[in-house]
Amino acid sequence: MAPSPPPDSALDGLRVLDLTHYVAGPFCTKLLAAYGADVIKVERPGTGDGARRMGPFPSDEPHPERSGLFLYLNMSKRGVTLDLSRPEGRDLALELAARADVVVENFRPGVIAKLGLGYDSLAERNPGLVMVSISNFGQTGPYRDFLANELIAYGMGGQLQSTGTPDRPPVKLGGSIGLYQTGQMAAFAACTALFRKEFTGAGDYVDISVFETQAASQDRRSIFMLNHQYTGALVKRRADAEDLAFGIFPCADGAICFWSGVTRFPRAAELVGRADLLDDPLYAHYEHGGSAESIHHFNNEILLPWLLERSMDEAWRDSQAVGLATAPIFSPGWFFKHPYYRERGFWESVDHPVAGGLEFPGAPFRMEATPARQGRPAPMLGEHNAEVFCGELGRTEAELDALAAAGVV
Amino acid sequence: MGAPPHRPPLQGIRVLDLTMVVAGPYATMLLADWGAEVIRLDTPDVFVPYTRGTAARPTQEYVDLVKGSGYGYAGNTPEPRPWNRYTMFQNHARNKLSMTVDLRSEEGLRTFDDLLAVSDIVVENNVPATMDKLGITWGYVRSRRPDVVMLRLPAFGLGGEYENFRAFGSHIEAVAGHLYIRGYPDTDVTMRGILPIADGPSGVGGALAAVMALRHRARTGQGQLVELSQTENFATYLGESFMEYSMNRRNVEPTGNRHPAYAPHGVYPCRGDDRWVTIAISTDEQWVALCEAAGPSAHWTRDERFATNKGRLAHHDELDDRIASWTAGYDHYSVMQMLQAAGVPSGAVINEGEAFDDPQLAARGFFDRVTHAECGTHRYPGISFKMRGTPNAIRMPPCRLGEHNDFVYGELLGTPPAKMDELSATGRMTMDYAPELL
Repeated sequence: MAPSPPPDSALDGLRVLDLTHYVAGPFCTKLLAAYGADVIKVERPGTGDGARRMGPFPSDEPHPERSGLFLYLNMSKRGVTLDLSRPEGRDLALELAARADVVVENFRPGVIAKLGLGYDSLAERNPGLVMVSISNFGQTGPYRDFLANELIAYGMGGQLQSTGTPDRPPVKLGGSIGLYQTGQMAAFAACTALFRKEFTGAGDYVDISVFETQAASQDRRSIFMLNHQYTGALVKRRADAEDLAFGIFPCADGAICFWSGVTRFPRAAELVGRADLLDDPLYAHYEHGGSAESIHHFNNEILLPWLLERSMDEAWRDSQAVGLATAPIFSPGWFFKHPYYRERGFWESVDHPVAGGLEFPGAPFRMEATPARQGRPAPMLGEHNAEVFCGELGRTEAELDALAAAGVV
Repeated sequence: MGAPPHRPPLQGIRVLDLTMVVAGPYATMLLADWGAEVIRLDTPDVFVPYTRGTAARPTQEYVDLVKGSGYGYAGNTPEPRPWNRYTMFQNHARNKLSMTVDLRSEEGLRTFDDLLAVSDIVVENNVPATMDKLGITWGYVRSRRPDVVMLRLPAFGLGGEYENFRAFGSHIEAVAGHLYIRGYPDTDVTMRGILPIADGPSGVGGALAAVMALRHRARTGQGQLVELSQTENFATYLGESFMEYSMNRRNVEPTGNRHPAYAPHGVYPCRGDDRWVTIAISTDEQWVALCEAAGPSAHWTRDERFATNKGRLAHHDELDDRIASWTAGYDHYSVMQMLQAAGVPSGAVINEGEAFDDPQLAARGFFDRVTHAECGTHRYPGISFKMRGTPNAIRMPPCRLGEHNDFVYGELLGTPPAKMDELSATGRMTMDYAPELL
């Protein structure tokens, strides 16, 4: 069989019906859209996705078409409105699902089935369908109906317990890292199922949760679980600086993170011009973790004064030049403005009819042969109703008007 | 129901795994979990710190020291082979194969060529200069197998002044602006701890990139280079923070456990040693439900200042103290059950030991019991998500160094027995790191 001509983007031609809102679900479908999928996002008429009411907003003025979170998470999608609780709304969603390769939803467990849009109903008409349900705790189990957000899910599934310092309560990570990770994992799950479909034609139903994505994550949590099995130990919140040349240190104009591993200590000694320390009995067996005295001596009396005389940038370059793993502590603004990522073209400029021209974080990876698609603005509420319902599902303008008058769209 | 289980979705895909530390191995773990045959190419003459251990042969003292950091050794002993019992490695090496080969040698590179001829994708997350030195670049791979996918996960990017800067997940979160926005609001960045936060995102992003490229290849026969800059991928997880800067030229500052718009939102002490519960209230209804759950003896629930979200935000410190005085009387699971039953978002802060008894993880069948030839039998954190038609579990224990040499050199590559004997005799096919490695 002759191969078909290569598409421009990896997922060109893929049709996705997006029944998601807030963060995890929309991030999943945003990733599919970035690599070429035609994503049709369904929102509730009138109010739309709750993320439209979440900031940031320009000048802190809330406006449903100017939420930075919504505009970012829904870039390159088309948007329609549908009241899924009404039979006419459900029927239109069923038509869209019948034409879709992938359906993604993140209603509370049980809701999608009650709406008549569960996997069993959809797969009956579209047996090759890949459907992804994203939830806080999964579609089954005693916590299925529990309420959660980033903080709660990270406390239960992730490693909140040991994050922070011993004298204070555990402290969460920044932003909504756990929700984003779940969204990216859901995109992986969808593409994995789609990969198999190329060979078997069969779809599948994916049940993915924020809770289990965290529990299985290699950001400490699953490692620490196995460590508990292996050693019986529990990781406590603790202050840093328990290793040689390890810690976050101030420098002349900021701060820098040092962590290269105990066997790389000679490189740190070389960095500060103190190779002689390797022969100092105080530093004996540094490769198996230095003594508390040597750690205090090196970190506080040698490395710290050396860093305080140097800028973050100098300290970063000099330490990298001897092969240490180090990094400056950047604010979001520093990263945003940094020439390295500007030159790589990471940031994407997109013009939105209401929000105007804005820069957004770009695609997460670069595919040489099938590059990510240039971002298109997130849809305004119901922007593509006519295009989708009339242009693609064959409703007449009069029918669409009637649906609108009835509040279905 | 009733339909036969589907074949594992990535069955038939062979992955050459040149990854190190955590990020790359997490990506290949996800591919292995879902059916790909992942072959780790382990070099017995070079010990990469934080891959199969911090050092090849740690002392008992060191092993005792690191268990409390979460990166210990099975049974708290380095014996017999420490590189087959290091938690960080064991946790991502299930379902994978390990062979030994010294890619720095001409013969090793020929072995790589032979493997490449029968593989579908190469994955690596080394410092790019390391791959240049080995000669295993995309140009090299493409010249032999243009239809293969090569996924590279540099910390910063291929090319440019930071190309070869070294970084772990902790350094990546520092550069991407995440360390700056997390932690207690009144602490300096130097006091926020070193946390390898980016390893999760890099692994998941890598797996997504791999399978997207593999699907494209299945449809068109076309291979390609895929580059995932770990800092860029991580930056995509910080949408609202970057949009705040993009729109308003302001940095998001840490808020600890608090929510900018809703209160109360925090972590509260419970009965017992270092036990905590989270509570996150975003509506007045939830607040009233919390007050009812706390009962009439909790006088603070009638404090007028707490009646509105605005008032609760304005008096968050005092509110936290009051809530803490109530939660401290109960254990964390009880508070969660009580509040969830009342419709209040709340969760026990579950530590990594308690997770093994958690009813939800048990009901979901999250843990798998796995027996490893040197470490014994333990319960391992399992598969990240469920596919209804494809029941899944850990199929193989974490791969020991060189454990699958016979399969790879013999069955897969068809190396003649005499040559196999020579590879063993000269220590190229081995299950041990070179004796001179520390």
